[in-house]
Amino acid sequence: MTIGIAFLLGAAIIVLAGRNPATAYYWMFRGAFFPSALPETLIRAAPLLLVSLGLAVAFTAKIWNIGAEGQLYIGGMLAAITGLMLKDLPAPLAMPIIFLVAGLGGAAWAFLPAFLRAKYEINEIITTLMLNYVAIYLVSYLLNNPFKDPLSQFPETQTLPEHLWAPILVPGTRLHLGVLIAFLFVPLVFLLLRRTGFGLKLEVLGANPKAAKYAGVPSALLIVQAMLVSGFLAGLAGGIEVLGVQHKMRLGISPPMSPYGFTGIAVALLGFLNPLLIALTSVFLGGVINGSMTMHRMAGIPVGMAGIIQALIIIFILASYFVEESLLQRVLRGWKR
Amino acid sequence: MAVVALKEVSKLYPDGTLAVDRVSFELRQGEVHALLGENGAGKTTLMKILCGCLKPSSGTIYVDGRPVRFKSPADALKAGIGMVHQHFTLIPNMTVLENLKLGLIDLNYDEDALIAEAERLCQLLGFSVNFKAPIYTLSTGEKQRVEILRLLLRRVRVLIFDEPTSSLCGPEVDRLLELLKLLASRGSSVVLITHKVREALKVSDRITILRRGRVVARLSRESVRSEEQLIELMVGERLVNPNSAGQASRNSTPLLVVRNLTVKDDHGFPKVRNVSFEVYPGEIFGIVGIEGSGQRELVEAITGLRTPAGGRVVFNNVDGRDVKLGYVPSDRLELGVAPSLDVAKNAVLSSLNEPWLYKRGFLLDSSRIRGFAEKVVHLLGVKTPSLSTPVKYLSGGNIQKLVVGRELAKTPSLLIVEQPTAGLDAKSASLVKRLLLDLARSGVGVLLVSPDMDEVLELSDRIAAFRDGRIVGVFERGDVDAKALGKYLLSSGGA
Repeated sequence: MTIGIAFLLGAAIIVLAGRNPATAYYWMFRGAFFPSALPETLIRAAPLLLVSLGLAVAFTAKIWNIGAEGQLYIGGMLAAITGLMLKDLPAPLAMPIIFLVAGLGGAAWAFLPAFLRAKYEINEIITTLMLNYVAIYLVSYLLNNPFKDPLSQFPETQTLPEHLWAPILVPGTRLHLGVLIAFLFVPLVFLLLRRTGFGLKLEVLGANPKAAKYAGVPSALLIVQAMLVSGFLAGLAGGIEVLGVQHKMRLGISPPMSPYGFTGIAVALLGFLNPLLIALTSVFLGGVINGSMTMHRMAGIPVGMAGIIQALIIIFILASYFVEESLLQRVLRGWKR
Repeated sequence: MAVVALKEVSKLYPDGTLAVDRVSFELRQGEVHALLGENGAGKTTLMKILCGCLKPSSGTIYVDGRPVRFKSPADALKAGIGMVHQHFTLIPNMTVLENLKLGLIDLNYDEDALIAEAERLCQLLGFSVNFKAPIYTLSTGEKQRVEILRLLLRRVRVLIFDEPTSSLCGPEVDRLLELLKLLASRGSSVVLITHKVREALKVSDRITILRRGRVVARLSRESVRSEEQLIELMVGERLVNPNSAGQASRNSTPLLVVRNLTVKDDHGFPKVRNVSFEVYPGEIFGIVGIEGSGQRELVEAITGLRTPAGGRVVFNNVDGRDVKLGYVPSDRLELGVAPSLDVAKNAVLSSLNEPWLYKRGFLLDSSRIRGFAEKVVHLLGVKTPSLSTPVKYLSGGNIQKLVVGRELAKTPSLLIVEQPTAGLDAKSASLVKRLLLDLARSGVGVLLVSPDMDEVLELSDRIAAFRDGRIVGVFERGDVDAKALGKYLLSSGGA
């Protein structure tokens, strides 16, 4: 229902832009979920999925990692550098190393705020947020200077040798190995959060830090671990984007209208920090991102308008959850007395 | 002629506690009236009813002989009744003047008139206040005077003080007591809620004593024979039940040894001074004292939640097994549960580091967890729709049962339990007591910490009287009764 309201408001905006909402939405849907568009939607969903799975781990403990975007950039940058260094290695050997380095890079980028939070109780929201800019500008420097492809006029690295590109899974599409890897992390993170002591301790820490202390849960260690996992997955997201889609590192590997690192926050929350719901949500939002681009190209909706419609959809889904939760609580309260 | 009166007032809390049971109370013009009783006697509840903070379950409030019904503290203020709460209601980062204005926000005071009036009152009462100072820079006594000023500016005629000396030190206590007398002599009526006998005798014209929610005596000061008489009335004639757990063998190795323990509170004040004791297997060692005497800090230091400033805490292995600690904190709702997690997870909250919870060392064994949760829920009859219901949807009493039951069910070798029956209905309370005795009989060492003398006397094999951060006496079961113990705990009169 709330999605309906979002689309209605979106329609009003499209009318304001002097276009026909029906055609616009047709193209949006076609660009998102038609069989022909599905592979692209999944490709778009993969980094979003990895980022938000990682965030779900940190958010479960109410550790607010807002720095996934920076972690993703560091991961992507390191993936490209490692790839260029290992270009003589056969793919089955080089590729795991590249993914691992990308993940570790993201984790390393998350370590500093994690340490500051765990040791000195410095608010991780601010540190992670600020480190995004440090990361992006650092990468920008690297791409403009030492690692710039001399033959390109853009700030980007050389293209990786073709044997290091993530193999295509379905011929005729761009669906690559990285997408599969991303979705493999859904059951892994699910197990981690729901079936291990680590996950339960994260939950306790998030629900009541005092109870965590009472229960003998080592909060500081847990905070660092959760942030490292979170950063690792964000870095890995950067890695698969480089090996699977871009085949080089460049600025703007994250769609500017809805950067993976930030959209991932919404995905993690919309998915109630539940890996299965997060998987669904990332595919949906991946579709919305792709669809709004198609809408822009085919129905002539300005890019900004498409961005507004995307944002409206996210806001309205979020709002709907809160409405539902308060309804649920009212029902439960009624049941209690 | 009574300014205000309560007739047959009762208060039944939703969890089934009858805090005040058909109490009648009269306050005369110009008197200081002490409301005396132990912790949990119902003093504060009764006065919260009078000041509109709580609604009585039954009974009537009369102001100037007319029945009234207060919907909120604001209604009571309009009728001229105000309370100085134990925890002040001032906003720390605003100035004195701003706080005063805030209290009068509905009266359209002119600022200059307000200052003039406040200064007049200060002069009358013999103290001075810097109106421009932010509240957080004030001492506790000064804050209290700002609270009083705020009430007087509203022309409040009835001032209720809830344990006003508990956070004051030495000279400020006397100053406050003088102030209370002065207020009364100027025509106000003052209620002093206290558990300190000496204080009540010092300032009050009349004394009403509450015990377990009922009035046990109404006295004028002239008719009081001695402090002892008042203490007796407060604690009552209580028989000590001679059947103890009695399995304690104090020849064996103690499970817990505490030596010269000194602990500071969050503000760096020493709250526990040089305390030593030990707990043996099979005994219940009770520590009894007025709330806030440092028991909380003591227990926190023993359980490792707080780093002691000095001394040692040693847990001894018995029969080669490591000590398995069970701990029921007094702040169960705040410390003991993760409210958004379900009953099953909360049931194992204090066992998270125990191997039986896991398969292959890291995977949660959900069948064992549910099995344990079932056991906990059945043990004390926790009412919950299911094991996967978030604990926040349970009532306070049921959360209490969950926490207490959890610690009993995990069969500790040493159980530290604070106020085991607080907030429980009578049936669950007696069940908990029986389970504690059973545990001790089976060889578990129990450290019982509670301000409830009855509870401690009923259950403990040895009883330590705790006052101002010190153990002031240790008694064998039967060697001490409530009267004697009360004297140890109450007669000192000041903090």
